[in-house]
Amino acid sequence: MKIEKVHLEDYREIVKLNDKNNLISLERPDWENLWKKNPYLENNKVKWTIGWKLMNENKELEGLILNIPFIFKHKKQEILAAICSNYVINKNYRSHSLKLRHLFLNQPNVDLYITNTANQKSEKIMLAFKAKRIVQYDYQNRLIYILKKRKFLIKIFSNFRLLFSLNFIRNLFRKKKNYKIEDIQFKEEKEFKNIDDLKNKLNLNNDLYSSKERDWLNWKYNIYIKSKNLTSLKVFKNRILIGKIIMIKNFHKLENLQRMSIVEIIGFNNNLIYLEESLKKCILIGKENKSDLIDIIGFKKQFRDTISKVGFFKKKSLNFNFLVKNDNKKLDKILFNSMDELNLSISDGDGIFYY
Amino acid sequence: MDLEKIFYNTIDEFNNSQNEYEIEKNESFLIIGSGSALDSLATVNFFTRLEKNFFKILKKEIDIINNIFSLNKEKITLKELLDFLKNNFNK
Repeated sequence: MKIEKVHLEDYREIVKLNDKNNLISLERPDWENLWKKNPYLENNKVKWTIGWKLMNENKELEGLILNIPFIFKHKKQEILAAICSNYVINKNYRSHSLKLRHLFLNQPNVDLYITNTANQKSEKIMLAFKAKRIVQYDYQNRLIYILKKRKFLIKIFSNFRLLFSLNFIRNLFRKKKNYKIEDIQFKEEKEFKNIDDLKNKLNLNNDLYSSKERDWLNWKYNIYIKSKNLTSLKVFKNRILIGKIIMIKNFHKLENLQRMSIVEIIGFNNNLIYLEESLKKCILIGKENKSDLIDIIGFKKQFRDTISKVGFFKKKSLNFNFLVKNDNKKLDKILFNSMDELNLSISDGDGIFYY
Repeated sequence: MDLEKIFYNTIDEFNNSQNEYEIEKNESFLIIGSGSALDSLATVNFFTRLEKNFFKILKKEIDIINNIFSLNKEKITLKELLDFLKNNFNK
């Protein structure tokens, strides 16, 4: 067995490997753009390994781990993160998977190593390599708002187990309140062409967050912008921008559900009542888009409390999938000791590319 | 209790904890590499148990998994693992 660096030319083989393991592959241009258009790699002339591959004696691909750079910000500092993606090994070669994980977790000049799509097995492996679960309030519970109640009632009556989930039924019929405030204005957009520099306009306080600058958002959401599956909602208080919400439309094959997923909630600090009203607007947008539900993963406690107020309810995940190995000790406190402050979501890792 | 005793007790503990994998107390038994009888999760499970037992008994916090893979060796036998532990953590 041999471990080698991945190159863009390996795409076809990677798709075959993914197919064999029932994993989704991005289209070739979208996949290549994870590195070709990555703002960190475009702006810095650095050498970056896009991943490591496991090759058998016949030079066939048997396993893979991909490596995507993200820039995070914290108190005006830039932090380089390596995001783990597409970690897959063919069944007979899984004893070699640890070496791939080790290579990913030991790179020069990287502060954070992140996975936010870990399954139960890779969660255990990450923990063994001294990565930790982020300490963020209630991260493992997805928040859901059901738009097509009839569809879900049919699901409930066809699923004996769900009949006993009284909370689920009660939440279906929870009533929304009308708008409480009048000095709120919304602007819906389908792209970021006219976006202002969010980091200057919106006070991001002391949060740790993956860059919200235009080039990063364009890169991260390129797939959804191209397919017209992205809606961005700017929120104004007396015509002053106070927040922004980004939603992506996606289809959950297994559950046969059309979803609107809220993937960014930016700003709204000290304006939670405006966030509440903006979420009601998102519900309307979801209805207009004929979605079955709206879902949300992550975000800090004060945001989640506000989201729950609007009628979203919790759905527990099987395992904890946001893990970080931190080589920058200054970040230990915010990542692993500040339950109410950390504000990470699905968009802070590779989960956003495969939603 | 010395390091070697903790090591072999941990092997017993691992073998008794599940039925799927067995680590033989044989110097040439392959812990890591092609042909190992352990899968990645079993290997991780064994290393984690070793780290916990070292901490519990010797009050030493050690990081076996990152250190062992830094050796960059394709294969590691039971003997090589024990020698590695003795050389690096038995001070």
